[in-house]
Amino acid sequence: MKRSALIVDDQTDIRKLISITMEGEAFDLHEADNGVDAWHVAQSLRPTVVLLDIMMPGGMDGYQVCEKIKTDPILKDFTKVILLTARAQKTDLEKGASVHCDAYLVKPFSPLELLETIDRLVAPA
Amino acid sequence: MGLRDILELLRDEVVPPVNYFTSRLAEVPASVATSLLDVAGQALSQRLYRLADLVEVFGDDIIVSQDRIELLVLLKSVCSELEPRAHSMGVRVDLQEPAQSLPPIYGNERLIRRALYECLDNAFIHSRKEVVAGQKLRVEIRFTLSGEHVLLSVRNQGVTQLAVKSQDELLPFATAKQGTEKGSTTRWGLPLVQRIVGLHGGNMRLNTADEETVQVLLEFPTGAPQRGHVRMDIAQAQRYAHDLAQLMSRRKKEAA
Repeated sequence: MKRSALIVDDQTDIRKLISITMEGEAFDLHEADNGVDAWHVAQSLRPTVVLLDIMMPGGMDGYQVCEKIKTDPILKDFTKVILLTARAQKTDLEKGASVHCDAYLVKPFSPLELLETIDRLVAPA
Repeated sequence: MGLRDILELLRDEVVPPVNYFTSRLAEVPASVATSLLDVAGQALSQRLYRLADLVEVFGDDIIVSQDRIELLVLLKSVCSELEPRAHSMGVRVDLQEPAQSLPPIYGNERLIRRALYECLDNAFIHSRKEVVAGQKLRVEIRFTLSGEHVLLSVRNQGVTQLAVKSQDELLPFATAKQGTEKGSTTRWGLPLVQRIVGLHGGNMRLNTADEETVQVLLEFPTGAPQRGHVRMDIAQAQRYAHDLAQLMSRRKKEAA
């Protein structure tokens, strides 16, 4: 079964950049530009990994989507969540831990760092 | 010296001595005089902070930061802070918690706190006056989630005397109407609330349907500001460019 990744960011350029980075990594790539859509896609897609921006407009931010995923009986153990954020204060990291994210990458992040984090969390295809 | 320096001086140099004065009052045997001085000192301190915030939000270099704000948590904190004041004024605060969890809002937590404080304080003040025997004074706080906005309603019930006939009356620094008390009571708090909410992309509305109910509605956009078409952060682009060669090298190795 091919692995799938859901890229969630309200900035189009960031989504494109992550998609380019992950090309050739044996993932089906999907995108969402807000938290509410991301949660709906996650429920239907059951992605292997979610790359999730924190600060997004609309009804749910990244922390809330992560919390939903990590309390969902089907997704919580299967789907790995990597939070992507420009916010790196202690309280932000603690908030990420409180919603049980699997990793936390601070922007600007390196594409290699991103791939290494995915490699660490997700078993090869 | 810029406006920001003056504001810092006001907050850092003027307010602390006032706070020190009121804290030292606690060491003096209690009396009517010390009690009055304490109330006056606290009121002066609050007004200085409020003045600094008012000047700041109407200045040109206002910076709205991107704090993650959980409105309910912040509101509860403001209610706790104002509880003694509400009690002393005989006002009961009825905070109805929302049925569903609210999305966060993003902005300047200190300023949003100020807006909530002023909004509640305004409700207390206008519940307080013209009290008749047996009149129950109550401030109701409700949340409604509407699409991508959260609506906060603060309604004071009981005899009120706030009557705002036009939005012009919400402009700060406006001259108080001679011979009326109403003009002066709207000059500080609500203009500040309106400005702060506006700076965060929201709206404030005021309903004074009858003489016993005043409702202030604060509408905040949830989540971060829209930025989908904003170009990627330069630092992020540079980081990618820097690592691109290594990324290509990884690809080649995997392909080999």
